[in-house]
Amino acid sequence: MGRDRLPDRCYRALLKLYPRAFRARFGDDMVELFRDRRRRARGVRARLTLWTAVAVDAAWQAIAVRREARAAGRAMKRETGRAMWARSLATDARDAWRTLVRRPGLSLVAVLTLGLGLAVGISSFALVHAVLLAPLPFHDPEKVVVLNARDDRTGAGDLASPAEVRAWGEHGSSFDAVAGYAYRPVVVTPGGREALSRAQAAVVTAGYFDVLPVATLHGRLLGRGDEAAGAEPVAVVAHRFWRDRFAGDPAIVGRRIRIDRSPVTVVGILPPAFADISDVTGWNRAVDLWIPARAGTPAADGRKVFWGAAARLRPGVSVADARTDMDAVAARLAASSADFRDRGVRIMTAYDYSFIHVAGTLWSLLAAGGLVLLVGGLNVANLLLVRALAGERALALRAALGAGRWRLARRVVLEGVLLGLAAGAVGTLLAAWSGRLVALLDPAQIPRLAGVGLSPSVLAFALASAVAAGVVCGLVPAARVARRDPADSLRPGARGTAGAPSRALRGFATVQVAAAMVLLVATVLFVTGIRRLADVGVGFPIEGVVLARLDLGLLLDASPETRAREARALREQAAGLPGVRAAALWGPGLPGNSVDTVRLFAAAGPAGVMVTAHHVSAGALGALAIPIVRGRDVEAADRDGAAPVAVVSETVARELWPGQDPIGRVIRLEAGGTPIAVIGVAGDVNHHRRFDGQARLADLYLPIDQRPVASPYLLAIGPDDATVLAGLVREMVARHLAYLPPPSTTTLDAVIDGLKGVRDLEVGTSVLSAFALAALALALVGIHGVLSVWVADRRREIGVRLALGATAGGVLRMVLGIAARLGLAGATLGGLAAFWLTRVLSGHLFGAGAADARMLAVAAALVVAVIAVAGVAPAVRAARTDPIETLRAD
Amino acid sequence: MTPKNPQTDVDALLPLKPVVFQVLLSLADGERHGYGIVQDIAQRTAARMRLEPGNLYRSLKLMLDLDLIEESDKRPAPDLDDERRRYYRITRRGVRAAEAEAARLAEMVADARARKLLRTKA
Repeated sequence: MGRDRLPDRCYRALLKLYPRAFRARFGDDMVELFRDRRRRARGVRARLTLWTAVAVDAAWQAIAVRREARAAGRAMKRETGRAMWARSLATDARDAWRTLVRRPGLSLVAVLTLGLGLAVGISSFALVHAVLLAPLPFHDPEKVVVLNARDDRTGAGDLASPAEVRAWGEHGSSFDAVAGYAYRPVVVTPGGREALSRAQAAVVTAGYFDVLPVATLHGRLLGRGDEAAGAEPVAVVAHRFWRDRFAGDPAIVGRRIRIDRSPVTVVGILPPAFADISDVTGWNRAVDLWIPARAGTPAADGRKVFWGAAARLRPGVSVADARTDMDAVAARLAASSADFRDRGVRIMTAYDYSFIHVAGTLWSLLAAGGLVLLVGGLNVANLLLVRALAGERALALRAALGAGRWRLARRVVLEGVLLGLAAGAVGTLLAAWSGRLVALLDPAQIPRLAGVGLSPSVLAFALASAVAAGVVCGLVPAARVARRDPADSLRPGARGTAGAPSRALRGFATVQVAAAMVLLVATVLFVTGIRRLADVGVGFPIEGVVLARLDLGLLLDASPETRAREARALREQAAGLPGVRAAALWGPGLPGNSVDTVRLFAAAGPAGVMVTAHHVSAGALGALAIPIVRGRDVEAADRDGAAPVAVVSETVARELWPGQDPIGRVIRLEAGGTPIAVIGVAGDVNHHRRFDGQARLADLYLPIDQRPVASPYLLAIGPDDATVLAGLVREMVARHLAYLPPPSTTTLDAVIDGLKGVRDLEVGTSVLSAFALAALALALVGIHGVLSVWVADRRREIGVRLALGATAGGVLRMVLGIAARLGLAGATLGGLAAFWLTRVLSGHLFGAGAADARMLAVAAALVVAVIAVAGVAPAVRAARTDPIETLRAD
Repeated sequence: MTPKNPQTDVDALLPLKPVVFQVLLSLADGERHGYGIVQDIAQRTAARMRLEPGNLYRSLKLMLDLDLIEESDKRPAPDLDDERRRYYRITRRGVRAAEAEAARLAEMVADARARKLLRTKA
């Protein structure tokens, strides 16, 4: 059957008269039919008749088929409306798909680069969404506000005293409930006899669970009765704490446990979904138990107690109403008592408060993610443009044959959308994976990080951005195709011989380089920020200082005498540890990080000044190399029973006794209180957690033996490796206070670095440098692509040049020159953008200043180097062009 | 194609070309391939209508486009089958078109008979 003998071949030749589509569809059947006919035609005459008949038939019918096909085409064109549009859209989509599949390598590069860009964009959005956009995990979250005291002289926010929080609750009319809270590390004995363990407690006022209403899993919440003086001590525990320490036993409700050695009855267990206010304010306290601020206890009425405060707005009351109301309340309170003088109320929604410290970082992250997306997107635009230009003759042919320009442009956009969707899938997968990476970085202070994930909104964003990226990527090439006059592209040799790649290609490449440059500058900025912060110090050396908090309040005999004796004993033992140069006691805060603000009254003046008080052991200032500029340091003789003494900082001396000798002056800690003699003046150092030179360095150092602290810090100062020393100190304290849980130890420089925000900057640097690397890699791929296409297009021209005597080196230099020009243009543009941007943003990014010329030069050098690398392969390919080969090819 | 009133839709095709009508008649009692159609028509018309390949397949294409016939994926008995050949079968629309054409022809025949132009009995 399959023998294709001469007559069959002749008949097949005749079939060429028919349109290709007709022939493809029916040709084989027609040959079969012809063969049947021929087999029956025996004899010359019959055969002649047959041949005449089929020849006439073929000629005649071919004309008719062609005429009918044209008529059908015209009818198709007349068929207007949506059906036609949809059908052609489907056709175009299929065409676009085929185009993409035909060049799988190029498409893969496009999908991967855009995918990488989208991954960065999507994960940035996921983060911003979880932190900034998702509702807070509270009941009616928009009604929850955070209250702060405000120092009306400086405008600075401050924690409030219990008296203030109570007064706000009593006098303010804007709130359904006002609650004060404070966090306190405690030691818990779950069953009464087991070993002690540490936990985080929140001391809260009765309104707390009215501000953050919740239904308990078992038992009840804290109520007003629990606050009364003499009420039975009770606690409500967190779900995680209940599960881990009590094995999820519901019978714990009603049972007694010990908190800091005192018996406390557990009355309720909260559900796992309950969020403490600290979970959204960025304090991330991971609270284990909530205990009431019972009247008469130090936690509720102590002089040195400060509270955070939150409130629930009354229905219909706006934040602005509440501010007006509370301003009036504050004014009345200030008039009524000296305690409230110069104190206002600052009100913020919990939502605003939740990201006040991180909003700048997050938005910068989003912007950086956007830049990477831009670079990836431009790669795709480049690719589509190159492809559109390469296929321009074909497209122009179609345009000449009547396909509308809009239709042709639409096809290019469709290609972009298909690429975008594929890249969106890749990007979503990458983002899901990188979400885990961000969690590994564990950026401190970013609240609600656990909520980051591929929620429906994030997926919707992924889809929208993928389609949008595809459309945008396709638009420029599409516009170009639509604008182009088909006649130009059809002219022979229409591929011009202009000196450099087309303007659009160059423009894309330049913007890519510029975006990568901006990210690089930002990275360099963060790195220098870290270095500069490292240089800004507290004013005394902090290296090699190990800290251990001593829970002396937990001693069975917690009398002041015992505590002081134990503290002294521990200090002496620490001083005797190998490698320890000096040991000291310090409280209640830390050197470089103190919170204990008191009002100091000089004998002369009626109004006091605010100072920060430090309770220190003998020789502590000397051990920390805080200089004594006049008088003497605290000494061992300044013990309980001896004359009360104090050392003040230079700032205090200058403010209280300008131009006079402060030694021997008398100060008091309350008006009419015990007189304290000033024995020395210490140099100004920074204990105040501000590293911008704005801290007011007013400090007061009191002998710890005269004014004991419940939980002082033991400092061991040694030149040796701090981690080894930390282990020794921990072991020593644990041995000495055998019945207490081992202390947590850390080093002073770790604490200070945390205060400076070095950690945040480090996280920012890791993220930014990853982004910058991604952008650079993408720009490298993009520029390599542009140059490769340019070289491929110019093969003929390069061949001619080589034939006419140009050297391979000259060609190499020419291509590398183009790369260098692209790199320089991009670096210049990016440098200008970075210069401007960092000046605008420098106020918002703590620690990261504005870009300077050196940074820009470093980044620019790196960018130009990378771009040169991108140019090497195409340049070598161009230089290796064989002139004969290329000239023959046409 | 948007659905229209089936009758007026088919009426627009009338009169059918003789080849088209003959092909419909051939397919009315079963599926056939191209050569089968040619043979059947030759038989029924006592070889008065001979179809050359070009004519047949152009007509088949038109009829496919007009949805009067369709390609069949069913095959006759395996021993009769030539798997390389395409089989065609009549569609509902093809049946309606053939009926309409037959009715038109019958009317014309009736007219002719009324004018004594046709002697044989119906």
